[in-house]
Amino acid sequence: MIETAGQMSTANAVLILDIDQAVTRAVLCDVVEGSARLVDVGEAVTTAGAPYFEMSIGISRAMRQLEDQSGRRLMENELVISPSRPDGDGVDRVFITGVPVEPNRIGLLSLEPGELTHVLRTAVRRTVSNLSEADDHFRWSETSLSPTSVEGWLRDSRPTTLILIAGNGPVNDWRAALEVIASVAPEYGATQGIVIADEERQQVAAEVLDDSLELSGIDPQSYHPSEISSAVESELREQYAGRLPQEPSLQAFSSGMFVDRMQGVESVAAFLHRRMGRKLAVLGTQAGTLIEVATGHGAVSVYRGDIDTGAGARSLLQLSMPDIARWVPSQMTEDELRHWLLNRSLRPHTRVFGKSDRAIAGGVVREAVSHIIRSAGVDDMLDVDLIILGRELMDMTGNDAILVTLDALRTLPSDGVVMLSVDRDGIIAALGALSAGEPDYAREVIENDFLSPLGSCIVFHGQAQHGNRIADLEIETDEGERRELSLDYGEVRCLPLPEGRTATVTIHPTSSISVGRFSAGEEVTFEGDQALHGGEFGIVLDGRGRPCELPSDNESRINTLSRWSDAFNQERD
Amino acid sequence: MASERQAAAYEPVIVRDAVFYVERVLDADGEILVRPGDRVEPAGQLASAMVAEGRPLLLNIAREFDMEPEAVSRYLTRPVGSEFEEGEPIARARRGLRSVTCRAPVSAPLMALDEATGVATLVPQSHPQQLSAAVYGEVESVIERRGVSLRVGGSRVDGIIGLGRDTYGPLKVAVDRADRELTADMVDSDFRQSIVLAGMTLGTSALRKLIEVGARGVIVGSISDSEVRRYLAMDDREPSSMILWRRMPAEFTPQHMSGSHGLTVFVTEGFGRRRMAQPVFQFLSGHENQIVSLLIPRDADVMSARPALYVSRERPSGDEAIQRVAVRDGTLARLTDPEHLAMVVTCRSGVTDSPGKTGVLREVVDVEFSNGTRTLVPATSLEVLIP
Repeated sequence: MIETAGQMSTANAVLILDIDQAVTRAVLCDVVEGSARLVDVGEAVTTAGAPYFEMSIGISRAMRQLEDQSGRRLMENELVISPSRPDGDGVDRVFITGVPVEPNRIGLLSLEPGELTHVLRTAVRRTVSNLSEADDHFRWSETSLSPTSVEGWLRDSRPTTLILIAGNGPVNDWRAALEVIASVAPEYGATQGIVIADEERQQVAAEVLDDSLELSGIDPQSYHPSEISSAVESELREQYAGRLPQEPSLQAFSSGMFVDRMQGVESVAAFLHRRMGRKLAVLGTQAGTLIEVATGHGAVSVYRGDIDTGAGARSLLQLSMPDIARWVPSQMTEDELRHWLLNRSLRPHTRVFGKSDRAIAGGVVREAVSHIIRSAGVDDMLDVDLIILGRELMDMTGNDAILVTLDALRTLPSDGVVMLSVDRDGIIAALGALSAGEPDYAREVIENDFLSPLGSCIVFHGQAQHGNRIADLEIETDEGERRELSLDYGEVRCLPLPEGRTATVTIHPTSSISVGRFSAGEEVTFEGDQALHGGEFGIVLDGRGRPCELPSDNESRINTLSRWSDAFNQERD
Repeated sequence: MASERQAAAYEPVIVRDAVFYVERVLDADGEILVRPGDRVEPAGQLASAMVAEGRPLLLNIAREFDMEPEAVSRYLTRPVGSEFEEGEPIARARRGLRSVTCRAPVSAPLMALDEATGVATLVPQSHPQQLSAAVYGEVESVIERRGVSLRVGGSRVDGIIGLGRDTYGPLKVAVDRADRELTADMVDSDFRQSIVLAGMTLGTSALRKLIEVGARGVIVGSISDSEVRRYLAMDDREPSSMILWRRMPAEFTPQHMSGSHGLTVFVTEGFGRRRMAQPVFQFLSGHENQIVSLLIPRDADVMSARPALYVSRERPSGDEAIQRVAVRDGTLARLTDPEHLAMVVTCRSGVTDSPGKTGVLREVVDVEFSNGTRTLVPATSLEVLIP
């Protein structure tokens, strides 16, 4: 039986399986010289889809790779060896995370869009669910609420669970909408209905839908929207976890505890926020897009299983193609961009490796993430000082990943600096799952082996003429190397500073320019505890202002994007 | 430095001289007309059934048009009792400057209009389904009341997108090169009841001309999203890309695409203007005038279901099952990342491990382009064309 909660004992060797529709990872941790460490990661393409339709093949490959790399035997007679043996074979605990089975399919029909609808939408997107909103469908198909359009929406999205929000409109309209749902929803696979309505409208729902769907109801007059959203979130999380025991490929790991990817990432983000005092954002784009923001002003968690640069690329057809194309350093027509998205969807496991594909992927990720964040109701620029990038983002966009991430998340740190790190082994969800059962153990692995620093980025804010000097900087490394330099508006530079090293930086911005959210023209020094940390790209100076504007004429736009990209792809200054 | 490791296995795009097991299945329970061991040919009937299109549908036109129920009858495009095709306007009215239309969600006759409520009733009819073999083969087994599994000898080419219904016919080669576009003026009556090999791509006018001359299918390297939308436009209203290609494109199911049009489109490479991979074009050209079958998976998402083309032999012989093959020096493959889509390369190594940008080992293959340059490409970014 796969656990979803419970009291755990302390373990030595731990196996965490992280499976989604793209990649299957087997992560092995163990206690080494008294400290919990990451031992190795085995990885394979997930085989749940075509042409295999059998998840166990990918799991076996990942496990074999892990065994080869670690030199330990972990499986015997198609079962995990547990507990671990004196010779090092086997593990003591097993966890499962990721998105091993398809996300829940949720349909949301609201007759009165408003605060409650927004809160529920946000709640669904904190779970492993693909949400299809009737309103979106009506907009794409240029229709409005009518029996035909409701039928079309259900046929297109085929939700298994419907969330129905009545609002305070005419009861007859409510009844009419429910009648269409009753006549077609079961045919399209819906089995469950969550009705958010007052007593009278719940009564109508019971009359009309009782034979078609298994119903539960909440009266918004009796509960606060946050209570309703919390109840829906719990229900959907349970619904997802409840589908796992039916997956035969996971039977060999049936002693494992399951924590879904959202919960896993939330745990790690909360840990880093609480323990290290970081205001952070996590961006993952593998098999869906996951954004987790934890700041002093609260947390934002969004999972969009239907949006990514793989199978979910076709969902991005809803975005403005010119908005994406403006980020590509070449001339690209709307048709070409649509074809790119469709070709990615056709062969989602294909790995891009060409310069042009990476540049397009950069544009796609920028707009997709911005769209998701806006949809989540976050309109302001993000005030974070640590960004954790999923490894797949670097695979997809190459060295441009830093700028792509800064632009996508619309980052403006109050202290002027944001540290960027990559989850190089792709283990964030695995560590989150581990923390649910073995919190101290997980903490040690997070501290010892989790993040690889890419660099510290200083963000300049304000308006100036392109090419005009906006700041003078003095930099002194912890080894005593000193240099002075200036930065122009619209310029991006990388100054080498290896991982493990720090630098004291003093910045004198011009009168119209501020460092992060400091006052315009205010001198800022990063020293002592605030000294900047190095990484693969050292110190990044982002002089593009906020929001980052691109030149309107095509040639300048292409040159500008190429220059920015060159800063990360050429020898450092 | 790349290190050799155990080779991954690929199923080739072109499989020659093998035995395939092809399932032919009804949409509903029905009567199976063949027995195991029976020899079948493409036109041969395997099974039949009565297929119900669905439950009666109630359309509240008064509410959709925001008008009095008794007024609705004045706005019907055709009287009660008329047959409507899926998507066809049932009623049309003017609301201010805009024209509003209520369309039939499915093909069905309009059986009633309730003047008291303004609700129209469409009752989809059952229709007979005759399941043909579509290929030469031998009945291997019967799937009780639903269909049969056929043992088919011959060759197979995997496609990437299939629009339309299963079909078959003699192959006509319409272009001389894999990078040639089929234009309307190249389509003539010789293509009637044929499957047409069209090279790189084709546009709406060529698609319409193929329908006009009665072609059954067309094979292309790539298609354009905008050409497909134009082809499917109803009342000059093109479906949006988002609705068309996202998840199950319900309003535009393969049946709809085929429907009255009756043309099956088989795409080998993907979207855009990409030449057909030369070995695929060459292989198909070599079967001119032979019967080829285009089988399109049903009840599946157009973007994830993979169609297959068979050149089946009248008598299945041998017992050569499809083998997955390992990449090795000399293997012909095509690249599948969007930038290099359909580019044919020759592999110069097996699958090896190489550290990627993030330091994690990646499976890669050393490939040679037609101009002689070589590079390492991710193993997941190529498909073996011919072993």
